[in-house]
Amino acid sequence: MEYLLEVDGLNKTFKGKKALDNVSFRIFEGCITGFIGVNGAGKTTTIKSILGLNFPDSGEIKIFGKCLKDNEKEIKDRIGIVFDNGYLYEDLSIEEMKKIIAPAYSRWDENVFRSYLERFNLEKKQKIKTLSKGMKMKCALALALSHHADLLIMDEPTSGLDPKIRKQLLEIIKEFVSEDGKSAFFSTHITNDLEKTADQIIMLDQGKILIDEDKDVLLEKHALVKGDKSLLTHDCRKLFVSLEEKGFGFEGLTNNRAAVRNSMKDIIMEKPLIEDIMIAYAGR
Amino acid sequence: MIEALIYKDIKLMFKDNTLLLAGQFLFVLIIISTNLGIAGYSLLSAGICWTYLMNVSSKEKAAKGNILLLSTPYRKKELIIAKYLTAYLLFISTTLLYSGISEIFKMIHVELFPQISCDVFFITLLSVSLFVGITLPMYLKLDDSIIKIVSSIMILGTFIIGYVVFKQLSAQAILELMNWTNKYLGLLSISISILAVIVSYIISFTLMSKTEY
Repeated sequence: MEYLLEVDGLNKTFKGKKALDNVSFRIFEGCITGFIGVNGAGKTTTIKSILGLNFPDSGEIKIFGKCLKDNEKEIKDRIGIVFDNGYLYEDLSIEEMKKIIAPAYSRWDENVFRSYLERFNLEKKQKIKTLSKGMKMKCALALALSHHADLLIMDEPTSGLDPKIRKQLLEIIKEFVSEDGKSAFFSTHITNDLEKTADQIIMLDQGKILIDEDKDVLLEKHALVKGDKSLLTHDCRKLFVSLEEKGFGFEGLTNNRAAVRNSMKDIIMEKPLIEDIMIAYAGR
Repeated sequence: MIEALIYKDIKLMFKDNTLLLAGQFLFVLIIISTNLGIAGYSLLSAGICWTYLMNVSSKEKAAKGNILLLSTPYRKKELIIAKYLTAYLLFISTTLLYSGISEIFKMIHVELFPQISCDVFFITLLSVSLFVGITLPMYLKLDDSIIKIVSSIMILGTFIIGYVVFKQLSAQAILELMNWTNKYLGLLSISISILAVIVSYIISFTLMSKTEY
């Protein structure tokens, strides 16, 4: 399996505050990677660094095995990009927007673009400003997917969308990745989106990578534990990533199921959601 | 690729704005040209470039369109070159339109709009080049409200400097200077225009390369 994206030791400081602290991760071919973290964690800064829109203080980024700085045009020709608010020109129509974006790509496919418009019920003469947030996102996705991109990068694509449109977008992303050699990398704080779609989870908090794992392994490794407060000894507490005590009971997230099972009797163990894991790690 | 960027700028400039621009064009054409003659053409040319830079800049800043464009294979230098080309395209279109109107009026024996002489064209080209050359880098870096203030100060400053220089020079020196510039007007205008655009491009590119989005 090849890496489509390699980020190594990325550091970025904004006005004396560390926005990215030694961020390193890899994106594999054929994978949907969820890039999670609370607001202000550094997700957008990382994505902008990957796209060369800001300048990291140090670190290396390789896309398709090549350095972005020296191969910018070639690399960007193979990337599809969708931003949270689209960054589309409100006064223009979808067709006019396409006429601006399409010539930039060497492999633009008009038929693919038309098929996406049909599928999304978008009229090419519709002005961007008349579109709802969901429709704008669909338009941005149609523009991002019509040049046979190999890597789809999205910054909070599902933020502010209703569940039906979110589901539709996630289906499109799954379809995209099902083709040979494609990958999708998207940041989100709506972790529900990742439960069914993501293969890999990367979590960023205060500019640091806290989690970088296969989703199934991550969920398998962690457990939500509930039980009586009297079971919590000093050693047991160390087994939890987060722990909340209430009344006579406790609820916590562990990343060491076996050890908890061995040292604590009469407890309930449940499979956590990605959101539980994210909140537990972010709250540490 | 650059054609698509020029298309974008023209669309952004005229979209929902055509009537207002046509009104401004007619106002300058009728009021200024009939009172100040050929100055109307020069004002029209500089005005169209000013309107272009102001409108497109505010729409681009509102949409943060550069973030999307710079995420595509478009290069920074292409985005900047397209801006200069659009400004000159508008200048040439204005020149042709004014010449056309002037010819039509001449044909019906109404001498309202004087024809553009070579000297007038070169002086206008020079003023358009200097205006675009100075303001375009500012639009890339500064807020539009600040640019309006700076532009006003620049126009006023140019007038004051010109007045002071004029007062300092003797009448003979002014005449000699005018004779000399008249002799080489075309060459001077083109040379200074090219120099202004090159310097401006280098500044714009440096500014854009250092900008974080």
